[in-house]
Amino acid sequence: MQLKVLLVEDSPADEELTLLALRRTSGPPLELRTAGTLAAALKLLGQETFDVVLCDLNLPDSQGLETVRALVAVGPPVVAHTGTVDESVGPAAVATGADDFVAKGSVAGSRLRSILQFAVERRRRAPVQQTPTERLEQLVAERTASLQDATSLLRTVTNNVDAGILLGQLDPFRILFVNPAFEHLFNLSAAKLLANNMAWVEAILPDDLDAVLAKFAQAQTGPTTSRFRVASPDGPRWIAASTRISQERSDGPRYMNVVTTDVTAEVEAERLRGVAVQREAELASERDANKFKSDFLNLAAHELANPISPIRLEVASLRAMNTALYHDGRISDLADAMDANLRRLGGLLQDMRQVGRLQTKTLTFNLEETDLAKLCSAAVASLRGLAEQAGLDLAYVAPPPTMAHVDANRCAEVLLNLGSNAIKYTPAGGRVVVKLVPQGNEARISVSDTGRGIAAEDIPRLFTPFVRVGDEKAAPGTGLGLYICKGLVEAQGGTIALSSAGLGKGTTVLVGLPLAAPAAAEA
Amino acid sequence: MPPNDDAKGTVLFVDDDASITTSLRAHLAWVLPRVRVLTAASAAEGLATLGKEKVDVILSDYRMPGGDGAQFLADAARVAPTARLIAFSATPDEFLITKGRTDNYAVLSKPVDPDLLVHMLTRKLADKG
Repeated sequence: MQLKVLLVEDSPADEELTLLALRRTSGPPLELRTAGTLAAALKLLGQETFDVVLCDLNLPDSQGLETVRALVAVGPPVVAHTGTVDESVGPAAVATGADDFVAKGSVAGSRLRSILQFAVERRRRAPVQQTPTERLEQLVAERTASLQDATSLLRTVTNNVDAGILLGQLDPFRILFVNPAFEHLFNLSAAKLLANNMAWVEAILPDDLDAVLAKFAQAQTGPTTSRFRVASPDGPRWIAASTRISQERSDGPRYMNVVTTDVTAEVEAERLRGVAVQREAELASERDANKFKSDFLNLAAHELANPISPIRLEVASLRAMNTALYHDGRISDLADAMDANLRRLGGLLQDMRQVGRLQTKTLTFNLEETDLAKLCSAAVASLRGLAEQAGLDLAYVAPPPTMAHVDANRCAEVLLNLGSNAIKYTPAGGRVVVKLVPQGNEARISVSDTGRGIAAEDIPRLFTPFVRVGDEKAAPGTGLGLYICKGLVEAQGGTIALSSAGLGKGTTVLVGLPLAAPAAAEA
Repeated sequence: MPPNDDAKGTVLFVDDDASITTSLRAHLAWVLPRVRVLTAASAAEGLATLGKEKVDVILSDYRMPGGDGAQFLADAARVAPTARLIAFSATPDEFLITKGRTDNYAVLSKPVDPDLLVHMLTRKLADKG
């Protein structure tokens, strides 16, 4: 509804504030005119038609209810714009004939606009002149309805927010209001909360209570926030509370409001973040420790291997000296034994270095097209002496040339390792078979023996470093061989697996290596 | 291994570890008594020796302080083009073996197998032009 308003106001500041407040409202444009004195107002009203007059009561040429009386006599609805602290002035103005009243600055522009509109509406609906008393009664009814609306709106808000709200009066402390969220957060019914003003404080876990009470005390000087736990059926619930103490007038009552929210999930997330950070730090220090170990292993193996060369040369000299001078069988036996032990030591250190390099990924692989058939047959040839010594039959089932994309030296190392294992664990009269079969896009090399076999439960542990199963003293070894084989095979994109029908029933190790792509083979 | 009196010539052994040069020299005195053994503790010392002496076989550690062994072997091949070369390595990986093939020198792994070393040395000495 478009309104033409006459604002009667002698204070330029009040005039400006009121105009500003009304202009900022939404809705159809308002036509606002002003007058600074009663005379000016009456003159304007004589010249133009206004929908409503909003008037200050105390003007330079008219005071109080006189102003109301003079303006009401002209005709348009009048709303008294009271500035006084005396609350009886408004109703008195209405009793004198004003349509409504509103205290300056007490309501927002939109509300002021509604008041003006209502005044106009009321005149339209009830063109018959109401007596001042009737008008006052109607006003009281309207105000009560609007207060009820506001209360129900407030209740809707407080019933539906997630935040728990408590409003209390101080000196002494007495709870005036709690909303359902507050009841839920503290696991206490409103009845219990209102019956026992301290019940909600007693719900706080004892460990957190002192800190919370200190925060509440601090609220005397300004708003405070606190975090504490209360018991709940699902375990302690974390609650964040902000507490504010307010006092409308210096001689009036003091109120305390506490707004609480459930921050359990947040606290848990923070805790998990802390745990993750700590775990990351632990992992980093573990990585450092591991790197230190690998570096130490590499260095130790290298340094320990250095003296072996001179000692082996010296043992060889001893043997040569014996051959030339003493011809004593006991000395050559001793020299043989020493050399065998030195070879073993050399092998162990070689394995340690290989493990170190696998762990630090410092082993280089030179992958190229390699004929695995040729490679297997060479490996079998170099194992032949060992097999004969052990009284074993060593067979090789040879396919046509089979090209794979591998590092020939590393593959030979794997085959020699697996072959010598098979020979070591197979009693005389047994048989070791090396077989190469291309299957799909991989080459499968199997090394099978008729030896002592492995118990099913031991198989999964075999590729772990330093693991030896069965009778460890029956054959010398470091327990690193299979671990190294696995590392070497996997680094070339291959697979390795071991199977055994059980103790005494032989073992088969199956190595799968990627075959060279046909296109690459032609290139 | 009985002494081999047929093997003759001069061997230069370059290694920064004195215990191995000493023990090799002592061992060769028994098994190859007519072979002359010179030793050097560094690449520079080895090259200096090659400038003064005629050497038939050069034995060198592949990794040495004060010069990379591969560089020394390449330099040695230039200074003494007729000498046969043998390299020692604690990590005789494929790279080294391929390089050995193209640069025409043999590679022996460490720890040294004395019999293998003497066998290879004897062959290289007999091979000389």
